Amino acid sequence: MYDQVLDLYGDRGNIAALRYRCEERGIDFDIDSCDIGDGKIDFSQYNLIFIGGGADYEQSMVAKDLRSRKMGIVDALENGAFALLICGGYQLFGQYYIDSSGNKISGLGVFDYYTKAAEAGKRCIGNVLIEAELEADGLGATKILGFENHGGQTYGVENPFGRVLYGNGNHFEAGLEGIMTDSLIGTYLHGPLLPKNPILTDFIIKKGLRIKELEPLDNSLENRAFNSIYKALL
Amino acid sequence: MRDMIAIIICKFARFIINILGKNGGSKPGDLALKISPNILSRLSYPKIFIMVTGTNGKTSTTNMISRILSASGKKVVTNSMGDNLLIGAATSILLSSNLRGKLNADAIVLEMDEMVLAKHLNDFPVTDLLITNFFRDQLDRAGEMATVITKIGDAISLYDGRLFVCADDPNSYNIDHSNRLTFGLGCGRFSVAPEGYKEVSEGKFCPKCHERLIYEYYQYSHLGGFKCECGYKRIDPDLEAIVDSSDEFLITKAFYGIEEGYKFKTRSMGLYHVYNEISAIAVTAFHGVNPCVMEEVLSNFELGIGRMETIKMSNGRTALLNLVKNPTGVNEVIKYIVNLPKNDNKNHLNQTVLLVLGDAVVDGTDVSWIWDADFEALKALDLTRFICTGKRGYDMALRLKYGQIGEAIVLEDLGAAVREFATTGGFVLSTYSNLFDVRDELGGVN
Repeated sequence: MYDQVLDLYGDRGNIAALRYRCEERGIDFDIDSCDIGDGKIDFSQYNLIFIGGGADYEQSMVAKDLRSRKMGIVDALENGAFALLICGGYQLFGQYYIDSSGNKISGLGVFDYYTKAAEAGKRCIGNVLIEAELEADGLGATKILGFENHGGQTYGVENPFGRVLYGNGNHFEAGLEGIMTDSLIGTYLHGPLLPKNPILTDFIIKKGLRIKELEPLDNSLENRAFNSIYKALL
Repeated sequence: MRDMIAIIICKFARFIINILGKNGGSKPGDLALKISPNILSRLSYPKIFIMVTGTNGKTSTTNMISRILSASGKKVVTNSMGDNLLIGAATSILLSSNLRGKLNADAIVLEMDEMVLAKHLNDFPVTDLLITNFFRDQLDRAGEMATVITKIGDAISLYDGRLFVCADDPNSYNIDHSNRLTFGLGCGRFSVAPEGYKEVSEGKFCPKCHERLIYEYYQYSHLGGFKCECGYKRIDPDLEAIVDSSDEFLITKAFYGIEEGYKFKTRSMGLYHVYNEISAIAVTAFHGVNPCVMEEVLSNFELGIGRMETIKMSNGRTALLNLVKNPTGVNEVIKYIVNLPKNDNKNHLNQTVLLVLGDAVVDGTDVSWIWDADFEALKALDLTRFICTGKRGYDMALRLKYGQIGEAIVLEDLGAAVREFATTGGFVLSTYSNLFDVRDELGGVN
């Protein structure tokens, strides 16, 4: 959603990763975009919803339009769709966001968490390594690597996406990163997030399609990319 | 006394570095500032003090301005190597200062990093500030582009010299100043109609009212004939050129000693190069340089290190080396490569693209910008190989994989990557931190 506006930090790479990993397996991948002021959209027709991040004023432009679509989005998520929300998209699913000029932008209020810009000029910036429980079947935690760059400090998240092993997370030295429920992941991780984290990408595809298994792909390049940064962080 | 010691140390450090045959860069200035942190505000500077900032074209434009001023008989101090942080500027300044802190020059022309400029503009007696443009660049260091522009605008509100800005860039054109001159390009043969145009990233929205901008035409990226419902729009600039052929451009109205209809010869490097030229012309024309002198310099202008630089390797193969640091820079280089004349292009068949991606502070520690660049345009070439290296070589390889552009060989060792590349030659795109090493390796191929 809002790919013309919320397009910071290469987040389109996430779409490229989802597309590639679907198409390699013969799964059709059709993408529609929803822009500000577009007509009513039937979100229940979709498997995945993606919202990226933008600068403060772009975010305030999006917020109003997004609020008008709340019912449709919430219904779709309750009925099996899965959402990936990065940075601005993540913030907007909470109660509100107070931006760096002090403007309060109301969110969708799907969750209780809220976000405030850090004091002037301060941002959480740098590589982030987290550990997330992607599978409920006790297979153990998956390490996920990304890059954070956010002034917004998010508080009050009940179900974090992962534990921070390196970097900040939801706010300075938060120790916890993002939000994860059965129907969505919200996170500050750019990078873009998905290309270097193929297990996570496949997890999202499985969630969106409501299936348990996917045909394996060769992840050697992804793993080497992951390890080269992982080693440097330790 | 402390200042004098700092100047001596600076000169001595450069002397030692030269003896060692190293690329010392900004180390001498770094040492001097450690000894005397505020030395730069106590020097006596020449009457003409030009600073160049902005996202793209800083180094080339700085070099053009300083060479034009030199050719017109002035003694010029400049940081021509792209060392645009404060320590780089300090190195250039202190090396040309005498021990009493007086610069032996008629003019000083400094390229300045945007954030450094925002902080230090008013520490220097700047007479002319040129802003080339504002694009998305190195967001991790600066926050979003809007923040950078606000900070520079704040510095300019206290600045009392002249300001030169590009009328075609809605981001920098919005910076107002009582003593402002504008430059730009009119709609010409290489301008593009808005229908189906995909290049814009930053600058889609009006910086005044945040509504979507409407364009009559684009030059490249978000530069062009823009307007907004709120009334903010491009106004014909003080100095305007129209580009209707690949080797010359025409001045549309008189500007400080340049007559209307004057034609400048240019080297066919694309519109972004003409923007550098027209901005250098604006600044130097104001300082009374004859257009014939400018033309002589511009038509023989060799771009700097890593700017369309052809390197002949000792095995007879060639490399076209380009520094890249943001999506627009990559897009312009790729456009140039893809549009090389057919004859040239044939020579590049079966060649290799070597991509060197670093994440040092000078490169921007966030490498996500590679996803905003149109590497997909490389599919138009019949290239057989991609080699990726640098600390983020794997990120680059994934960009090519998921963009369905090609399968890359990743070689972590830079030397090994260059040797593999050299078996065919071709194109090299490198971020700044690796540029000089890549260049040395290319020069040392056996």
